[in-house]
Amino acid sequence: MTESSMLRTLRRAGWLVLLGLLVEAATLLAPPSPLSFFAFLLGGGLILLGSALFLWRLARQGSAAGP
Amino acid sequence: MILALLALVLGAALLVAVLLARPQLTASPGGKVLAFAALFLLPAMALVGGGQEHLSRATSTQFCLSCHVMEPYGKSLLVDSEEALPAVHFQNRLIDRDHACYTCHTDYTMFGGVSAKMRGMKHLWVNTFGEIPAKLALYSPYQNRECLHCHSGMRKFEQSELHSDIREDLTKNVTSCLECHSVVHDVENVADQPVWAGATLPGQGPEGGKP
Repeated sequence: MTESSMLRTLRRAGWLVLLGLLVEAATLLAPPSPLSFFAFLLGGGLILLGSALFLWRLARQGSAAGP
Repeated sequence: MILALLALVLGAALLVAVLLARPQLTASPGGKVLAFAALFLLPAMALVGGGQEHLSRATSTQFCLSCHVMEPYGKSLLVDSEEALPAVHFQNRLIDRDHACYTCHTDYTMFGGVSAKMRGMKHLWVNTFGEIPAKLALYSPYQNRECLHCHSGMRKFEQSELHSDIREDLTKNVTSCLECHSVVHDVENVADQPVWAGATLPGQGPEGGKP
């Protein structure tokens, strides 16, 4: 796996996590309502997706490097 | 709590932004640790904390009454009546005003909180994406257990002759509390009823909803 490929994945994961965190921050500032709850779920989904992408690429990089 | 959570979320976002601006940082071992913290550890903590906060908010009176369909139920807490159960409990602060709906509409059983949350998720879905029924109704008849959770052992309740005569029936749910205390939300007529001037709903009044 090339370094640029790793950086590209890092960037994608980073944008997903960043967007999710900003959505989550907005829902914490909003008054309690079903809309803010669903927005939190959406933000949480983005965070999970970004983190999973990062971890998956990290694991692949580790196994490619070997023991 | 909320400030600490916000600081965590915004701190994590800042770290991610730094990584996005300078991805070459991750070439060093320290940068890899930073990336792990910014893209996994801190967001995971923020997610767990945020989830807890939102589940806690979902038990608040303000949350329940934010749905349009619940407006008459909110007004029933404010009516000027000494017979209407919700109004008496709410206005005399016999229940926590910030969790008024949740206090009376949660089953006091081992998994009562869990089932309330499951039902709540269904309500959120129907309210946002589905079709709201013309008339709302409880899933099952109201259980005395929910009243006795607070009233059992309460001096005024236990010393009342009317109650002591049927105490066992009340415990066994043979006689419903609502047979005598029959004025509950009365949403069909609530629009025409006068409101007690001193009553405010959490998040709408000058006191900021504090009980």
